[in-house]
Amino acid sequence: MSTGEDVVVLGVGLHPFGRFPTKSLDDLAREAGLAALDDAGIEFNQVEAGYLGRVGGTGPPVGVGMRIFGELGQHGIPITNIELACGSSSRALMLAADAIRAGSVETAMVIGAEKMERGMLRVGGPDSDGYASLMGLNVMPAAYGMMAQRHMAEYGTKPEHFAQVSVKSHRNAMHNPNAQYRVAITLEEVLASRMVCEPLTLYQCCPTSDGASAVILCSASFARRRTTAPVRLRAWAGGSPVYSRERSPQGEGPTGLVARRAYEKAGIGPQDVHVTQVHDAFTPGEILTIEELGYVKPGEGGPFVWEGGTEITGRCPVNTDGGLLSRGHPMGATGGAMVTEVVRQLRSQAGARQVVGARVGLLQNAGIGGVNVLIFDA
Amino acid sequence: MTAGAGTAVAIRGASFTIPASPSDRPQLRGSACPSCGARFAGQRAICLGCGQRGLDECLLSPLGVVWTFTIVHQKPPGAIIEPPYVIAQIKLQDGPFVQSVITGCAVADVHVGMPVAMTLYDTDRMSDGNRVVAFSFRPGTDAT
Repeated sequence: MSTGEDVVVLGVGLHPFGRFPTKSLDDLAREAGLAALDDAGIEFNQVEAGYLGRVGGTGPPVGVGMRIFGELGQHGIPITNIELACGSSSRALMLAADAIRAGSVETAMVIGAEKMERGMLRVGGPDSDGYASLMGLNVMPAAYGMMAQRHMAEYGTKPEHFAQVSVKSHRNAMHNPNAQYRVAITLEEVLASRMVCEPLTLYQCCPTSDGASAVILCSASFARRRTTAPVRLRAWAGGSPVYSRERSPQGEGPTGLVARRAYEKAGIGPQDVHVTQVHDAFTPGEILTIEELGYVKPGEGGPFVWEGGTEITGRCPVNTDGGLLSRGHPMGATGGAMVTEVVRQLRSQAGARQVVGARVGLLQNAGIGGVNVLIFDA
Repeated sequence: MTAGAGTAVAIRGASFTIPASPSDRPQLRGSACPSCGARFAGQRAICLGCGQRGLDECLLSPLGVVWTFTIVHQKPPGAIIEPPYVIAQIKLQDGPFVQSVITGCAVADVHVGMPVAMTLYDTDRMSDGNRVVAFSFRPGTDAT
């Protein structure tokens, strides 16, 4: 990896994901921020830069970061709002890490926060009587339904394989006090839930959620004065769609390409990763992503999940906290929640969902074509 | 489609020809690169393949195959199409991918690799006295 300061995750914190109609966006963000400060053992006036990841649900659209960080304190630091759809807060974290590596600041705080409306996410903007809206093309789960159908046609993946992702995620979330859904569901229940976009049933779609995440990064030299067991952000890479004449643009961007960049920077390969968080907004997210990350060969993702390969006790534990499907998906907060789970795993603080001996963790977070892959070690 | 009162106009948000004669093919408007030959649905200023600035307007092939699809069972707010219906990504014969609904067959009959042809889709809506027309793809290897 290039020279520069090593970057350490000093603190993580969440406001639980779910529905909190009596709390404002600012309330959610403040609680997550305070939890991360407590976890890091520093005060807000030691934070040298603030980054907010948010997409924009209800509430004012402009200058939200200024307001949210301003509630924690006002000591003149630069504050930046980052939007990369569902990948907003992991991208915010990458920019914060760039600033630390470059030596611009010693510490930075990333908050991700979102309050969302119930029901199917609307995509495609306000053109309510244009072609895409009238013809019913603005359907978010359809993008994942089409990824699944292509995978089924190319490799013989079965609807049950996708459904099994949701069974596993719900079981993991039972051990996560911050998860939106903490109930186990059976394969039969997943398959029998209402069909949304074939082969995806309702229980294979993540919920809309309220929630917030906060992460405090610092330089290795700053961390040395505060912890003897730092979790390092070892490498990070981002990307956006690559034009191809041959293949249709896949829904969530070029994860394989971005993962190769991240592995190269970290000097490791997929076989070295012990615990992983992936962007499972819908169940194909897990099966397709573990292939793109190189954990299994193309086409082997479905059977691998079916046989338990991504369980906490499997060869490649994935979404140990329940993932987007069960932990919930307040869009701007999701990347930070993934970081939080990876860090807790690498600190051996994950309780009943702990992956034994996890020392290297990876997360993949995506938003409408933008992909981030981050690798951590302890 | 049947000829109704008023002139047929293309729906906002899509660009395609509406032939005067029902025996002629409707076609999507696209962009063609004079340098590398790549074609794109809709208007583009710069070629994604080679970076060429300034693309030519063109009419795209009305024929293609289903690259992938899904059957939608929940009606999105504001849609005029009734579930269950099929959304597909279609690879046109001359290259570009377009997203469209599939009509003219049972939803269960749609499959990856199915040959499809563009057709007009009457929205039953009027705009300034004109009939608003959209498009879809249906099974077939011709486009009349």
